[in-house]
Amino acid sequence: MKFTDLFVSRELRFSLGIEEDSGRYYLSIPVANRLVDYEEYYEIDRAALERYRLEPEAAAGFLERCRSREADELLILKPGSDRGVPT
Amino acid sequence: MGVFDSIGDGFSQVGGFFKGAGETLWETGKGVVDLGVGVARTGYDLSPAGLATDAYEGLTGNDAPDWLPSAQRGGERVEVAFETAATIARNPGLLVDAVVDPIVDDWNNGNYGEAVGRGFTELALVVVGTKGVDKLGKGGKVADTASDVADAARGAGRVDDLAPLGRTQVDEITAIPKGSRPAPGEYLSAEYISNHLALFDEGATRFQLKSGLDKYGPGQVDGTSFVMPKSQADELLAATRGDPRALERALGLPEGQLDGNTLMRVDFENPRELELRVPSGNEAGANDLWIPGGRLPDGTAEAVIDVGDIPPARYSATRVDS
Repeated sequence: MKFTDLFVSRELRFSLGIEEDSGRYYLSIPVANRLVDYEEYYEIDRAALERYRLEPEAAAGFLERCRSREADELLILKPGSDRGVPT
Repeated sequence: MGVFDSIGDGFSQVGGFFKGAGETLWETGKGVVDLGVGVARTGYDLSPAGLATDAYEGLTGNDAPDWLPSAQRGGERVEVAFETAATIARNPGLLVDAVVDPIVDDWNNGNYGEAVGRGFTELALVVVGTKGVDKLGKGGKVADTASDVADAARGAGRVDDLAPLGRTQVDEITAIPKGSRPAPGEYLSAEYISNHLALFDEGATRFQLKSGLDKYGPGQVDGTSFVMPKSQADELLAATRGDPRALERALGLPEGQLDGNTLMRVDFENPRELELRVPSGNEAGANDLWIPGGRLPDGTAEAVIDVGDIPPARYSATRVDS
């Protein structure tokens, strides 16, 4: 899989982009376990991507759901053995 | 204590001797039998018939009966064995624990006869003859331990060179909500903390995907970063030999995370200049597998540094080839 960012909000700590192989859009958040920092990728549709890109604050509710693990069904990569926490 | 009490207690301890000896022989035999059954089943699953069964399931979408061989199941068993061996290699004390702990428990509970019986029998097995096979059986206990992170954490807590904390103390501290946990200095000795931090004198390392490093820098939202001793990072990379799947397993990452992503190792040459300390469990990166004492559940040493706003000149980021 190849994740390509189209938009980054360092302030709100999330990114928007496209997974090149499948054409799926994603919102990603930084997470960390005690060994490694990485990202979790949540699938979103094109409309959501455009909305969050134009108005990043509009992603707040969805970000909260992702960070509290209430949107796991949208994860493009399922968690490993040591799932990180949002950072 | 009266004469008759003493005699009664003496008989009890003699009986305990035979009980401890008998249990040790039983556990040894059972471990060896379990080991043999496991090897036989793995061979059965990995046979051409196992491949054929998996192919049948893939083509038809039907589930084959459990008694038929399965190459996938055999592969998973080999993978568990690999992880068990890796855990023992990192923490040989776990294997010692499997032998020593029952003796210590009996002694501490006043069951001196059983403790002596176990010790005598273990010694006899070494001298007369199962030539190490019984120790492989004991390895089954370690496999049970290593297969469960929580149990591995308890095992790690017992090894001498790890945090001198009892199981109850570990459970009490981890039960405290993140943000309210006590400073390590409240439950660890100054000597232990000093020795632990000395492990990082040759440098500290953090792994990070390049995309995240470029976007957010080396720190987490609270400016902290968990690090491991540089030497342990070197060992991890040597053991995984650039195999992305092995790296993902070693780092606890999702399978496929490293496809199309570049893994970086971020080295800090002088971590003491960045407020090197034993983690309290209140840090942003402390997840639900955190345990007190500066160790991961598999025994790897960890510490925390402050990296918020540090310039790139304070660390070196190197691509990990995979």
